[in-house]
Amino acid sequence: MLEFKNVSKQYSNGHEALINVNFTLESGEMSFLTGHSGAGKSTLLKLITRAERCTRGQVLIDGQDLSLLPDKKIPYLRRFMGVVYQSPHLLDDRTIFDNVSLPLIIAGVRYQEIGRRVRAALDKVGLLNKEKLYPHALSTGEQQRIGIARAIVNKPPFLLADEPTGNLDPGLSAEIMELFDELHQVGVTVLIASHDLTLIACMQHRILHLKHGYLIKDGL
Amino acid sequence: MKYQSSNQTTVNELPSINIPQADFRIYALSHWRALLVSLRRLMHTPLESITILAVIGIALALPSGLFVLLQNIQKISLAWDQQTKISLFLKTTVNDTAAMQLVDRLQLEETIAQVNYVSPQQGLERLSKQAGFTQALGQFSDNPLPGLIEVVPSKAMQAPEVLGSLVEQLQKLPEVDMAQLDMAWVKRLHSLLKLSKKGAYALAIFFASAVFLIIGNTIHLAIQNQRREIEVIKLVGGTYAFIRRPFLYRGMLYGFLGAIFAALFIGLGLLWLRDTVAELAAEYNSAYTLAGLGWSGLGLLLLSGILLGLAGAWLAVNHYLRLAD
Repeated sequence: MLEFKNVSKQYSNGHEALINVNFTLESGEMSFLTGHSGAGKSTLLKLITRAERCTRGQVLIDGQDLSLLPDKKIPYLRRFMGVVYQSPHLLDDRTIFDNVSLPLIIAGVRYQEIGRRVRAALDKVGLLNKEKLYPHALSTGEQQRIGIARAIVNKPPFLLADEPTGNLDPGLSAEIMELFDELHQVGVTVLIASHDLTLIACMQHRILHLKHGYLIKDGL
Repeated sequence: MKYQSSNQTTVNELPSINIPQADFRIYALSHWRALLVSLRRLMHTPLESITILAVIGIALALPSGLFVLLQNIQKISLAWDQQTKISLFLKTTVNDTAAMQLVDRLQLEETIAQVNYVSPQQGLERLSKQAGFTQALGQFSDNPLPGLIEVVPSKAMQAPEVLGSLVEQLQKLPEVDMAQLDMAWVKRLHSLLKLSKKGAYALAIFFASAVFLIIGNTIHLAIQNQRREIEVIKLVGGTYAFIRRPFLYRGMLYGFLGAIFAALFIGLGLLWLRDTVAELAAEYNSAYTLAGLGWSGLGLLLLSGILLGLAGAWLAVNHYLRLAD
């Protein structure tokens, strides 16, 4: 599913964010990406979404080398994966339903199908009854779950999360992580960047640990 | 929510990184949604939208209104052209019989539509009917008037360029003393019309540029207001075409609705002029009525509006997307 081969990323200001990173994420696998802030977690995720390009090595998704991916294919790469951000990037002037349905509208899905799929996604995150509300009417934890619903509404085979519990208290964080685990159970490949080590420790999944741009630990 | 199992051997059945095959249904649906979204955005700020549409309407109405007026003047001047007559004053040595022979000859000419002979006697009668001349004519013992042939040129010969050559040709006839056409004013009117039309074209280009810039700037502001939305759309896999589409439709809507405003303004203007023109026409014993834009004019106006809106929006969106890269 995802493969990093000798990947390095140096920003134009000279900062080396990633140095010779190698790892493979099999289809259906769930893994955590840890490290202190500035260790290169966000950079690694940006290479996967092609928000950035690596300076050396190869990032392969489904066998496709992302540095060779033409710009016009980037939107289709992003439809292939669901991405959950630390702040959920919801549109305040649209209802929960409209926020979650956005990826489906973009893909040109029919209206009847949209209603069905949005409700399925909202049901999955336990917020089925909130579809007519606006984001500001929801708590931070609920907003984050709406972000997850939007990420999975398109049924992507690959789910990425960048500090999804960063703004949440421990109880809510555990709930969110459980949600990711459930998605992993039904076959989705999941990669979560997080520094919430205590929470990660009790999840029993593979951990990729970055330090100063180097991948120094890969395993349980 | 059921997930398809992600097995690497069945990658093709999953959402794929590859650009999906073109599907007309999806394409049409996306366009329909973009149109609806742009309409909703226009109605979301009704006062602002109406102000912009009124400005576009005025800018489009000025040059197109001028064209309508010029069209009307041209129509009137064509009616005058049909009354163009060339008067052939015959030499006094030409008697009635010779004159009638000339009339017969002229009637065979293709360049001439109508020939009418006024003998010196008839000329005298005509003059004496007009008050004040009877006494004056009484002073003459002989009839001082020459024979007169009135020639109405055929339609093809009425254009001022060819009319002159016809007059010259008639002047050369041995029986004719003088061929007279007061065509200076016809010529002047035609060149004035030509000049006005050129001015109207320049004005049209000027105002079309203004409409283009107004719509471009309005779309630019709309994009600034929706930057966050555009960013989110990009994050979840929206193509540039998807981002661009609602703005292009919005530009076209501004142009189209603005053109409708312009047509209304022109209609109101003509309505306001109508009574005055009717009074004026009555004084000239004419039933002349003002012509409006007409269907083809309206079509052209709407099309120009739509194209200007599309171009303005295209410029604004592409400028933004290039900067965003």
